[in-house]
Amino acid sequence: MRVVLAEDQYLLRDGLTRLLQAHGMEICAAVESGDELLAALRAERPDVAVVDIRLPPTFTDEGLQAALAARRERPDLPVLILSQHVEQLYARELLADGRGAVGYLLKDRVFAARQFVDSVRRVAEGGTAMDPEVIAKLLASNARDEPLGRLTPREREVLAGMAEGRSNAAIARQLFLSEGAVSKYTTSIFAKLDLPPSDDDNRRVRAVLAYLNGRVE
Amino acid sequence: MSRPRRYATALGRALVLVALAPLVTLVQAVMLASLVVAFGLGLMFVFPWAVGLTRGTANLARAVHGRWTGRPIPSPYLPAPPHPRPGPDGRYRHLGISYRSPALPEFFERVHRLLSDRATWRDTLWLVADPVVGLAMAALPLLAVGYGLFGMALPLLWDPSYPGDTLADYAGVEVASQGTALALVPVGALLCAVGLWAGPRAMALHARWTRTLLAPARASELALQVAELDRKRTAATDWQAAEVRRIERDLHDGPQARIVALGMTVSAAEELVDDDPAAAKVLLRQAQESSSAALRELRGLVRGIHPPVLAERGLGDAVRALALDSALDVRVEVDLRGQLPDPVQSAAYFAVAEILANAGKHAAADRVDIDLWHRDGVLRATVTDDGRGGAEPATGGGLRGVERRIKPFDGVLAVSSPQGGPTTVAVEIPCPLGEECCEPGTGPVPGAGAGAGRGAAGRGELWLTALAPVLCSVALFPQGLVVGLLLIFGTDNRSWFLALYMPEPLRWPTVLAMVALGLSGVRPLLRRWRKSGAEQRC
Repeated sequence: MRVVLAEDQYLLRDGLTRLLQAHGMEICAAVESGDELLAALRAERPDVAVVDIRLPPTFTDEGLQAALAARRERPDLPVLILSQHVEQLYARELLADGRGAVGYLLKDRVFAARQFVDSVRRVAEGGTAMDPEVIAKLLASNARDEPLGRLTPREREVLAGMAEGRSNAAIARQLFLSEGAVSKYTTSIFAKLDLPPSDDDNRRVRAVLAYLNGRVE
Repeated sequence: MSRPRRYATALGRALVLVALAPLVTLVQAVMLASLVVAFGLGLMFVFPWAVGLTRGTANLARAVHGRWTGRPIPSPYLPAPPHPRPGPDGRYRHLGISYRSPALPEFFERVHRLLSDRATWRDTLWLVADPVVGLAMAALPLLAVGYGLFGMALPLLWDPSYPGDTLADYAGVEVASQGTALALVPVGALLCAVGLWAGPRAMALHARWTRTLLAPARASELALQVAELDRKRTAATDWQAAEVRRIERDLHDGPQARIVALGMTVSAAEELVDDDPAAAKVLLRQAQESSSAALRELRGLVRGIHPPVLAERGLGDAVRALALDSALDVRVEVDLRGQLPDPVQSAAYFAVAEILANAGKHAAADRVDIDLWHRDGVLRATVTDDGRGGAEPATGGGLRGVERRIKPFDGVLAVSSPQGGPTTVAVEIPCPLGEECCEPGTGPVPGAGAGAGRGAAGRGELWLTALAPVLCSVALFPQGLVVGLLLIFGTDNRSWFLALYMPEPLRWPTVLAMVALGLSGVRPLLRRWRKSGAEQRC
C-alpha cells in the first residue's frame, strides 16, 4: 500500500514513517506543508494519505483544505486526518460529500499501533475511521433527538462503534459480544432510526454518519 | 420654529441671562476673595470650597446652554484623585511626610489636582469675563427693544406741559414737539426691529462664547482620555495576571502531575522488564493511558486559553463549533467579512461561550440563536434563548466576567431578560475591520482632528476671544468711528471720548489708532465665528 504522509513535526513524521513501514506500507512521499501535499497527491496518486491538519505556512487548517481540494479533483481519494484536537465542524466537512474513504483521528491514537494501522487500512479500502471522541460529541449534541432517545444504552454503544467505522466483528470484540448479538443490535438500531438496512458495511456507516450529521441542523 | 416665536424665545433667554448675571458676579467675587484668602493668608481649606462653588455655577451655565442649543457641553473636569493607600506600616505618606490618618494627604491631593486642572482656571476666567461680555451680549437686544418701544411711545408721552418743552433726549435729538416725537417713532420702530432681529443671533453668540470658555480644552480632553485609558490598562493587566496564574495552577495540578507519574511508571517498567516482562507490559500500558490522560487535560486547558479552532478558522467557525458541541439546540448566523484582530476575536469568542454556558446552566432553554455580525466598524453578537428569563449581570457572575473581559476593548454588554420571557444578551465591540485597532488597554482614540475644533481653544485664542468683543465694542465704534464723525462735524461735548482730550495734532492719529485697534478685534471674532459655524453644520 502506498501512503503519502503530511506532518511538519519531525519526530512524529519519523515515528509514523517507521510505524507504517513496519506494517508493510510504502511511504512514497513525506511532506511538510499544504502546497507540497497537494502536489504530492497529484503526482504520486497514493492509496491513502495520512495528513496533519495544522501545517505551514499558515498553521491553520492547511492540511484539511489540501485534502478536501484533492478529493474534489479525485473523489474517493482515501484521506486520514490527524489532529491534536477534534472538532465536530471539521468532521462534518469531511463527511459532507457522503462518499466515505475518510478518517479523522486524534494523534493520541497512534499510541495503539495495531489499531491505528487497521484504521489506515480501513480508510484505504473505502471505509471510515472516526475518532471515538468526535463520535461521543456527535451523540451528545444529538442527545435531545427523539429517535436516538429510544435507543438502549447497549444500542448506543453499538451505534457509536458503527459511527467510528468499525465492522461488526470489531464492535463485537470491543464490547465483548458475539457477532450475532451485534448484528441484532444493528438491525434494531436501523429500525428505530428509520434508516434503510444494508449489508454493505461502508454504506451502513455512511448512513449512520449522515443521520447523525444531518440531524444537527 | 416660527419667526415671532424665535424672537420671543431669544428675548426670554436674554432676560434669563441678565437675571443670572448678578449670581455670576457674586460667585466671581467669592472666588476672587477666596483666592486671596487661600493664597494670601494661607487658609487653604477655603480653596476647594470656592472651586466647588465655581464649578457648580459653571455647570449651571453649561446645563442651561446645553438645553437651549440642544448640544450638551461636556464637563472638562479631571476625576477626583484615588484615595490614598496606606503603606506597609499602616501610615500614609505624602511628599515625604508620614501621616496617621488619610485626611490630610487626601486634602493635599485634592488641592493639587484642583490647582493643576486647567479647567479650574478657565472657569475663573469665565467668572471674570462673563458678567461683562456675556451680559453685554445678552443685554443689548433687550436694551434695543426697550429703547425702541420707548421711542415708539414718545408721541403718547409728550406733553406740552414739560419744562422747556423737552421730554427727553432720544437718540441725541431733543424731543421738543409733538412733530419731533412723531418723527422719532420710525427710529424707535427701527431700533425695536434691530433688537428683535439681533436677539437670536446674540443668543447664538453667547452660546458660542460660553462654549469656548466652558467646554473642555484640548489639554483637558487629553487628560481625561489618559485617565480613562489608564483605568482600562489596569483592568486589562489585572485580568491578564489572573489568567496567567490560573494557567500555571492548572498546568501544575494536571498535566505536570500526570507526566511525573508517567515517568515513574516507565522507570518502574524498566526495572521489571528483565525479571517480570508481563508486569512490565502492564506498567507500560498504564504509562500509555497516563500520557493519553495528560493529552486530554492539555487539550482542555488549551481550549480555555485559546481554542485551536479559533486560531485555525477564525471567529465565525469557532462559534459554529461551539454551537455544535453544545447540548442545546443552537443556530448560528454569521456575517463577518474580513479579518478581525486576534485579541478581539478571542474576547468575543469567550464572551459568546460564557453567555451560551450561562444559558445552558440557568435558563432551562431549548433553543438558542446566535447572531454574529460586523457593521459600521462594530462587532456585534447577540445570544437569544427561549428559556425562563430573569438573567441579570449582577446575579449572573458569568455575565459580570464577560463585561470585564470586553471592557478593555470598549465593549459593552446589554441584557434583556424579562421574567418568563426570552432572554437576549448582546455584546458590542467597536473594531474597524482591516486596521490595527483595539489593542487592549488603549482603545480607539476618538477623532483627534475632529475634537480640535469643537469648543477646544488654545490659551492664546482664549484671551483673544475674551478681549476681542471688548476691543470691538469699545475701541472701534465709540472711541473710533464716532469720534471721527464728531471731529468732522465739530462738537464741544468731550464726554468720554479720549481723542478729544488729546492736543490738536494727535486727535486724528488717536482716532485712527482706535479704529485700527477695534478692527484688530474683529478678525479673531470672525475667525471663531466661521469655525464654530462650520462645526455646527457638520
